[in-house]
Amino acid sequence: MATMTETKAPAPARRAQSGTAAVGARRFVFHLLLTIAAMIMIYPLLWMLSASFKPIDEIFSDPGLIPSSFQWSNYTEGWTTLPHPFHKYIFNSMILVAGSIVGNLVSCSMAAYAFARLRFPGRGAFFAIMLGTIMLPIHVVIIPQYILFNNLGWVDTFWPLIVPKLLATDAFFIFLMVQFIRGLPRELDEAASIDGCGYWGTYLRIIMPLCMPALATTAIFTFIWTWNDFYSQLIYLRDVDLQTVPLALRLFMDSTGQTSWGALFAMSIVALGPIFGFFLVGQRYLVRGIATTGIK
Amino acid sequence: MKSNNPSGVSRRTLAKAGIFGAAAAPLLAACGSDDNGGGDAGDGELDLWWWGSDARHEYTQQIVEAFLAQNEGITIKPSPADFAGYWDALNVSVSGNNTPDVMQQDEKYLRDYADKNALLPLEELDIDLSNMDEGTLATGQLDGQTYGIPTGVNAIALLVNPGLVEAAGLTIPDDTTWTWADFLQFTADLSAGGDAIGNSGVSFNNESLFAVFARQKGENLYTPEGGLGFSESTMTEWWELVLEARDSGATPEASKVVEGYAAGQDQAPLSTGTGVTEFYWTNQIGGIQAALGSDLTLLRVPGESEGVQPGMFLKSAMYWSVARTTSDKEAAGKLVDFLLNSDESIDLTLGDRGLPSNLAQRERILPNLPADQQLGADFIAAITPDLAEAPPVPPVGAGAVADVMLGIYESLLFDQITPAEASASFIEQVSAEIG
Amino acid sequence: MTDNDVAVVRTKPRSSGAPPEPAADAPAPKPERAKRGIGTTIRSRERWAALSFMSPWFLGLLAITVGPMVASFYLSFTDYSLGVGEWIGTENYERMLDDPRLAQSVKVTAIYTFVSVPLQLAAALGLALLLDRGLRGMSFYRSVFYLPSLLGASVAIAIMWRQVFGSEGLVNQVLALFGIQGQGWVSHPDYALGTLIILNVWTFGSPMIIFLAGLRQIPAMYYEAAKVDGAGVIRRFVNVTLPLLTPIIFFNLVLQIINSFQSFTQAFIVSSGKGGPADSTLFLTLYLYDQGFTKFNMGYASAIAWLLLAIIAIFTALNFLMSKFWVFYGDND
Repeated sequence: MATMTETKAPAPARRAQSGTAAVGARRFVFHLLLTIAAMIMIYPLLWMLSASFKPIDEIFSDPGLIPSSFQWSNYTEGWTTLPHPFHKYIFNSMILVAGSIVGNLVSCSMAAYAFARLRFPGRGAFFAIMLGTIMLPIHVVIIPQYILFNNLGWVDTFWPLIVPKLLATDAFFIFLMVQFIRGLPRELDEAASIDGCGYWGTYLRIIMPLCMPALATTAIFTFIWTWNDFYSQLIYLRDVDLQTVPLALRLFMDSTGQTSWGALFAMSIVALGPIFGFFLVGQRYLVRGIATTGIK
Repeated sequence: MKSNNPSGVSRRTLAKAGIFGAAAAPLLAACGSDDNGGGDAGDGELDLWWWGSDARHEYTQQIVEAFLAQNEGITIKPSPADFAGYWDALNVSVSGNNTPDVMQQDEKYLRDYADKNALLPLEELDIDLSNMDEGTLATGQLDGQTYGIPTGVNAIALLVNPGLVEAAGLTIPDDTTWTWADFLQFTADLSAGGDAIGNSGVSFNNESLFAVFARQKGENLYTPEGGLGFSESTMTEWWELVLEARDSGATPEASKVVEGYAAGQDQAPLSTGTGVTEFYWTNQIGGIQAALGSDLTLLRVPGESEGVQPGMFLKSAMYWSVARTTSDKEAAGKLVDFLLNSDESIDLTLGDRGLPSNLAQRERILPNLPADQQLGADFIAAITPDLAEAPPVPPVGAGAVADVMLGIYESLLFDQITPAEASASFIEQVSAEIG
Repeated sequence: MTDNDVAVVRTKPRSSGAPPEPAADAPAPKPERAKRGIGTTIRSRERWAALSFMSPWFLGLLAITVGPMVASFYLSFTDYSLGVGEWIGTENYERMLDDPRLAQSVKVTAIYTFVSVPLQLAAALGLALLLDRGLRGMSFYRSVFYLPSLLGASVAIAIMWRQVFGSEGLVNQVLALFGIQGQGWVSHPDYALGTLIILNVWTFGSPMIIFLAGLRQIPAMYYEAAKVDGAGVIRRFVNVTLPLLTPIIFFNLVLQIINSFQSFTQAFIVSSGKGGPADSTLFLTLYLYDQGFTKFNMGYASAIAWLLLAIIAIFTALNFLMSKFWVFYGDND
């Protein structure tokens, strides 16, 4: 978990580290406080993980973390309870995620390059509009969008969820990349242009390779958001064959009531697994993305 | 909410669902053999939607297989669902002009969908109705046209766990004479005398149960014209009864009642042996007995001999309807006919979609019914001679009434509103929905 | 890299919400002047290139964002449902005034937002201050505190919450260890919203990260100077940290308020899509979904969407107006 890199030691750190006994005691108290807080924060998650291996009656009686016996059956039962085996839902979610990532990477980086490097009339105004759309609640546009996609016959397909990504509607990522590209030295562009690179050449050969960190942040966030997204999938995907992990979990909960909390928890853990994995691997990018743009 | 839907049982669909449609290739073989004119030959591809329990999903698949075996050139894509999810999905499909060709319908929504022009008047199709009970058939007719054909009939009953009654040191009362006061006393005694709660309280928000109460006073839930058919004082009396039940310990504390619904029918107190009685539809008995693992006794709703008339009624359990936009009317008609009238279908369905509305089939299967459905059939047979006139078809917007009633019931249980306020609020909100 | 990021955070509050030609043009001028002599062909080629790079975004703006917005506004004056609808003037808006469930949903959403956001930001700021002391293992703690905000939006977490706060859930099991008999928190209208508020507070990780970035930016010399003046820990916090952090606080505040007004998934899952018990978790977004996508009153639902947008816009504007009185931008320009 300690993948975070602290490149520079911040000033306050130096102050705190000049140690006397009193400072040592204070530091101990801080650690204690932080550890308690951290424990409270992640206890429910750890407990759910352990509950996913517990027999059903233990889920409702044992607040501890160690199951009396490990029940893999929660996982096997959860995997097969729904109309499709659970990997079908994972597969559907993966399709959406892949489409969304490709869409965001291509379309947002193109727009970002234009905003950051090219001059064209109305750039400032469009930039402002773009920032404004970051804040626009999806609820305001979802109904006409639904009507539109419905008329196109796209309800109960993945298109309503992927096409907007191909059209750079996740303006947040444009903003992220604009910030990043602006940080790149302009001399590179000019050198490329002297070498005969056109705008597309510069974009593809110079800017994109240098943008890898921003692209990685975009990909990871897109993964997490798409994987977690419930609202638009709830609206557009009703067909049992197209349902995704969040929809499957909801179906599971509504349909079995409390009969199989163990299996429900097991599938919840399965659903959270990929996010946790990306969190471990891509934490650096996530933190940077947040610090840069301040969203989620 | 869930526990009161006529479909009953919670959902755990079979893995097979959906694979089917792809299995039979659309070869368009025998389609033309008995073409009855129409001119526009359909594509033979049908979507079939229903809600229900696992068991229903399984046997309905088998019915579909039997149908396909006899009808080459037709393919069917089945979509099983649970009750709540079903209406969400159906709404979406209808709005997208993707109305499933053949669908299960419910009394509460039939008029809605008919008014939306989503349903085909079934007179246009070749469906054999000769063995149908006229009165039952009428419950699917609006303005003289048939928009849904009832699959069968149900009645609401008080399901009682006899073992727990005995354990509480009580005996089962005479249900032909008992009053609501007797019921309150009985359930309060059950709670006091045993470990289980007398009544789990998850049905007082069921508008059909309230309808029985109102009918006992000579009123109705709705008027034939589509308005509200009961007086405010009747409803206030109902909510007072609810609070009396709560305060006497007959029903559990409010948040436990709320959890009761959330748990779903299989985990509701009656099904887990933590509650002694609850009101359910007769076609739900099987699922509850299976979850409970022991037999139940059926009692009439209290107060049948107390008021001006008996309030119980036979409800059409559900309907088969056809989309106005169906891609193949002939095939859709064949399928509905098969579902309602064929031996194969009825042998598999038995009483699960209500006691069959096809009277010949009803006769035929009565001796073969499994014990739990026999219980329901006997109950219906016993009450039928005493029934008053059937209630009118619910108005447009009636589908929203369950949610309104649930919200009010919850507010009442948590003492956020008084019975009088509850009635006023119900009438206001429902009037807005059905207005 | 880090330096650059943090600098962005500081300028962000002004450029994000109300963007009056933001820093966008800042780096541009010099090369532009240098090239001006070469003539218009390059500039027009650049414009065409810009158009091609921007075309997906333009199309998206028209078809996915602005078009639907206009349509939504129009729909809010119709009784559109299931393919048919007629102009009914302001009837939908009049109906809102007389709709008790709408009033309830506004109330619920407001309570949720105005209770959970301050708590969440307080937790985020508190933990950020603790973590900023440069203790060993700080990055580990930061990871642990951040994790919930990544997971918090998922259905799986909402399901977990429902069990944790159920009558036989984790919370009551723990309370039972202390001899306290808990109750079904999610099934009681007095507490159900509280559990959702706790859930929102639980995801304080991302504002915390932003606070950390901001704290890192405060020059150490300010603290040294304050120390020389004899200021204690608290004085230093009040006189140095807090004022210099106000832009970040403001930014987090705006962002979190906008986010909480739009919350949907958690309430939907915890209440099985009903907003219950007794409408106590009926968020505006849930009511909108109920009207628009289960009852298919899409005209009325569009009107509700515009109410939501208006509320968000008003509070964001209020935020900006009030910021003049407490946000300290210093002299870093």
